Amino acid sequence: MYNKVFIVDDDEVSIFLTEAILEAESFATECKGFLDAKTALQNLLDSAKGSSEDALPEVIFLDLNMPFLSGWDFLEALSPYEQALKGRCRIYLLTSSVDEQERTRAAGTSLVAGFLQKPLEDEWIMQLKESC
Amino acid sequence: MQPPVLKEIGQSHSREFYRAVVGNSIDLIAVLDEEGTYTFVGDSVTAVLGYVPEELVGVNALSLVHPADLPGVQLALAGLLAMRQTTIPHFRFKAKDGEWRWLECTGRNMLHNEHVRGILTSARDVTAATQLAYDNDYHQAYYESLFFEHPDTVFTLNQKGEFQQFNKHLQTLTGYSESQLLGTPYTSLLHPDYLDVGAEAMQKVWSGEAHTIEVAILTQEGTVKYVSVSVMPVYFRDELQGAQGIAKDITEQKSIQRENEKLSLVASKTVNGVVIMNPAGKIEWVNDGFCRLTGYDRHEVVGHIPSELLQGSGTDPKTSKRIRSKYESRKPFSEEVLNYRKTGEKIWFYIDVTPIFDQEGNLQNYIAIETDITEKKEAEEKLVKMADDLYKHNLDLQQFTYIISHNLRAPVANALGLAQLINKLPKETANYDAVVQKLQGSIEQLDIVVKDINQILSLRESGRVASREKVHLKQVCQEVLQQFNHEFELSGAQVSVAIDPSFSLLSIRAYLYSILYNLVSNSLKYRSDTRPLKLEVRAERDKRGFVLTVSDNGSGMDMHLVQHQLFQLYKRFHPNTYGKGTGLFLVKTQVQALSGKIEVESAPDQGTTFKIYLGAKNV
Repeated sequence: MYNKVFIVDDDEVSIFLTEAILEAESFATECKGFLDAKTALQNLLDSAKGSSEDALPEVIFLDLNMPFLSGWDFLEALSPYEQALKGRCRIYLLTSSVDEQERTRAAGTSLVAGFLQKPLEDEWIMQLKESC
Repeated sequence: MQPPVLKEIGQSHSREFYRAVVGNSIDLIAVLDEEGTYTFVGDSVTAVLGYVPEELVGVNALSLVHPADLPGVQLALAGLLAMRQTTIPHFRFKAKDGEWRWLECTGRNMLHNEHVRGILTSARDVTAATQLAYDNDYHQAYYESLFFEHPDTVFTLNQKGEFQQFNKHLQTLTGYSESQLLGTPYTSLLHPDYLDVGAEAMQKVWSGEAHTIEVAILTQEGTVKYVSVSVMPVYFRDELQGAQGIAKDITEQKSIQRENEKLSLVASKTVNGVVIMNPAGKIEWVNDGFCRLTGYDRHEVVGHIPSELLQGSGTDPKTSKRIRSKYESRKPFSEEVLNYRKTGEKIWFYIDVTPIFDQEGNLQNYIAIETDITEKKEAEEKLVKMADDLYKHNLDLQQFTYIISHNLRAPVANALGLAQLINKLPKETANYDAVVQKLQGSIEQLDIVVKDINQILSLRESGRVASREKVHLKQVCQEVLQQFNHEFELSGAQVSVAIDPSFSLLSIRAYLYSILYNLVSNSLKYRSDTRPLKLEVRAERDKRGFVLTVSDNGSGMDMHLVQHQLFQLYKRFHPNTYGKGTGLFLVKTQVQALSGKIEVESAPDQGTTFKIYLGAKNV
């Protein structure tokens, strides 16, 4: 069981759903949903830089299609802290997109640990839990 | 030696009788001894040479002979000693006044005549005659030079038209030898086609008229040469003697001329338009092709400048300007240009212009070749339009891929997840109802997206086919603003409209309404929190039609961040305001459906200005 998980998604229903599934599988002690990607990013940066007491989440579920700050923008903003995040925080893209181009782009981005399609399936959650 | 003595005086005549006869003779009578010394000189010497007889007696005659003539005279004298009589060749003799006189002299050996005992000479002054002969020789030399050294062929014909005399060039020209040519009639050299021309010309010559003709001859090898011949009659003492002529080989010129004739035939028969202009660019000549292509008669265009005649309102001014400056540069050039026929019909020309210079480098002419490329141009335009359409379609496809992969897929994904969750949840829990509610919400969202897509698709389709009606801009604007009156009042907005009531255009009313509605609605939605909204709607004429401007003093946007996405579907830029992200996408689609263009300027916390260009096609 993980200690801390972030869910970053502008869709409230999606966050609700992900939380419900994670809860059902006893995935993590703390599950934190962010409707606003900017807040989530600030939170992460503070932890990565050590300017906050809060520990980094071990897993992040990141949506791609968000207004003002997309999942890709989010990853780009994190890229300077890749070394600090490595081994401590895994980022999974969780998107409703069925666009093959985005899957390819994800494969080429080193910060991305995996590309998951909504809705989140039990099977994936089991696998992720095992690699805890 | 004894002085001569006239010993015997005849009975019938006195001594004075003989002296008078000898002295008044026209000829100069004198007697020389064997050495050539005068022993007697008749009185006529005074009339002939200016001496008195006494001056010459005892003088040697040879000493007064011109040194150049002396050998001949000496030879004659020596001959006389052996013969009775001889004629001494003409020689010059010094007269009393120092001038040389030509003398013709006969001598008679009378050494054995006891009365004379000397050489009797009888001389007469032939200076005038000799001078004449000399002059003749002199002129002959000039004539011969003219005849034989002339760089062209010079010949004489007798009255039968046969060659009598000619210089060496006739052999070079014809290939025949001198003996083959001598006495041959000129007609034997003529090409059969030119026999009549030759005969006619000679007829004129024989009637006393000099004449120049161009004829073809056949050389000995059988090749054809072209010659220009000038023939003139020769008279001597009013009697026609024959003719003489000068012939010049013009084969090369002739072939150039033929080439030119061929070229001008090509120029006049070619399907292309050919235009010859003077250095000022004015038409001197056009071919039939030009007349056929443009519909103008030759006499209508001569003296005009082609571009002024043929270019029209649709001709690109840049192309016009470029053509003018290229003419001025005096270098060959080519251009594609839209021209107009006399009937006003459009015709695309590919023009190829070459300036022609003389040997001194002065501009003589411009030659333009004009090719009709209308079909090619039209095909090109179609192709550009097709590429443009394809590009638009491609953009549409990309947009729809995006819509399907995100906006359509998102509520589907949610609905799927929620449905799975419902299966796991016990019905009695509070969570269960929340999930069912969310499931319904997701399906409603799905419905909205499907409706949006339907609206956009039908909009695109109708934009291509919908019929245009006359729309008054001000009227539409006022109708839209009326819809928002209540909200304007509530927010204390200042609204101004500056549209000339006469502005109207052929357009789709519903689209104009929708465009304005969306923009005004956005201005209200994104107004500043700190100041009341000022909204201005105005219309101006521009060269293509109208420009509709909607500007506000609202919260604005950072153009650097939004410019590429502003008009895209489901893009939103204001975090705290409700919006679906379809408004501006629809605006743009509708503007495009009206063949217009939309531009935006904005600055954060200052305001936003939208400009809509409604093209000339719709006016």
